[in-house]
Amino acid sequence: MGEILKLENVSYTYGAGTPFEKTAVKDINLTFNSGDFVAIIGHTGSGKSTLVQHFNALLPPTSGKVYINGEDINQSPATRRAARFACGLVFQYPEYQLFEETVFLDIAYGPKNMGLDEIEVKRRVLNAAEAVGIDALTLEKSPFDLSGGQKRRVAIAGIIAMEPEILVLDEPMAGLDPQGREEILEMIRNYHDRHKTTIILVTHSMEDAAKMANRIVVMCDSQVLLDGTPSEIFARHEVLTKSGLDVPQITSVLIELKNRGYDVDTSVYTIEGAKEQLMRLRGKL
Amino acid sequence: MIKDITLGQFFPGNTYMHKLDPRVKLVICFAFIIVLFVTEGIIPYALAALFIVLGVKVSKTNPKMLLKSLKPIMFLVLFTSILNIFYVEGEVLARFWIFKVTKEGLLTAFYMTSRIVMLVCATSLLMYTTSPIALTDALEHLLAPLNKIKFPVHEFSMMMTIAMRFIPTLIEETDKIMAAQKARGADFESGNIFARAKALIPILVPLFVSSFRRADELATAMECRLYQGGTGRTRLNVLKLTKNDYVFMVFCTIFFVIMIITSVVGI
Repeated sequence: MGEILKLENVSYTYGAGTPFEKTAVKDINLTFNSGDFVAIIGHTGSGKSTLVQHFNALLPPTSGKVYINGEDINQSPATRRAARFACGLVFQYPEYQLFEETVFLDIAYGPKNMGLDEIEVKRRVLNAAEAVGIDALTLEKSPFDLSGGQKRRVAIAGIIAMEPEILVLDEPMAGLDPQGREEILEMIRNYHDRHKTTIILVTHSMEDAAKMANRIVVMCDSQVLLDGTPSEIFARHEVLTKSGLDVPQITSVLIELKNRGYDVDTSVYTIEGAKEQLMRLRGKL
Repeated sequence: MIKDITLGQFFPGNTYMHKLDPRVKLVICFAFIIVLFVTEGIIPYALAALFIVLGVKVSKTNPKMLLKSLKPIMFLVLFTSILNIFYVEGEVLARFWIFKVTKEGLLTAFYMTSRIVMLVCATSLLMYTTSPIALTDALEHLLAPLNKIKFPVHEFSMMMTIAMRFIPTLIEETDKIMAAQKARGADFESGNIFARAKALIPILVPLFVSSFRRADELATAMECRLYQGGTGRTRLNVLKLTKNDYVFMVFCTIFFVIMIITSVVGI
């Protein structure tokens, strides 16, 4: 578990010198380890989408440095380009970037840009399609004929096909129905289990973060507010509530119990953990 | 990079200039341009420059923004002044090889440059202090007489309003799509002209698709609110001339008259 991505005092200001000047991320220091599943949480406008665009050099930091595998990614156009492939970024509503005639060609766009040969491109496209659950028949269809959920999968496959070391997903579940959300989450989890790729998931749902990640970074007002394992984060629920973020439902039940004078651990966020707590409590009573 | 376009960008504010009636601003700006082109001479142009400076001061516009809006026309300015310097016949001041510089040429070049620069400054000031919506509103009012000859003024201004409303949206959308394709390794900056043109396909296709989607959604939304064109439509913000507007108009008229007089007298 070596460190793979490192941010050093990264700040970014939009529209410097105009009346619209706005600092979107301020003095961020973060280190991500290889194989981690990290959730970045924060409400709208907290700077999380801007932050992730620094991971693959889409935005050059106004000040500070970003390293992938110890190398500064903003040195030259070549290192920037390498960073795009090392750190695959799935944007919000990625289905709006589809453009090719067939699903196959669209997924192949990234690998082709990497300069891979045809056989390798094909292998990657098929693997990526399989990972997101797109069947062979769909590969020949036009991406514009697919349903919203399928389009989203195709777009994610387009990034996965580049086989990045780090996969960043910016709100991959936004605008999907509960079943669609669950399917995408399941798919991401499976992909992580199978490939051990470092995954960074941007979301504003504490439930999803709690379910998926082994580490949570909470952003608030362009800065990192909290950083730690889910239990550590949810144990500090007063901080979360103060910055307008929720805790998972399970945790809020336990918090309420504690407020009413029962001795329970409020850092628990899974049904299993809550069950344990309640059983223990019952044994005591 | 696309965000650097400043022409037509409105900077919200609450100054005297911002609060003027957009019709008045539009007419005055138009009048200023006409006056610029009918006058000639050092003093009239000094007055015009003063007019611009006053406008900048009153509207609290950042002078840097004005300079930025001049950047795209620098080439045009240089081109016209060079042509004028060398090609206008008259009293020769200097001569080298096949070129000669004339006094008249220098003067014409100076006048042309001043005209273009001040024209852009004036329109930029108008754009910076007037929201696009207010501007099309003003246009609709001013063009209203054309209704008599069956010119669809309302539809025309509605089209303008919608187009202007969507410029920032489309710019934002383009930025997003470009970023998304860059994340997939798209390269817009290298290769020959054909490679570059081809690299635009991944941007243009999604952009067109989303424009049509937006147009469709907007049309549906307008239909849902029973939009049926200009007849019988009332306004939320009725444009009304205030004392400030009259003061401004009188002031500008006096200013322009002085410019014309000084030009005619020939100082």
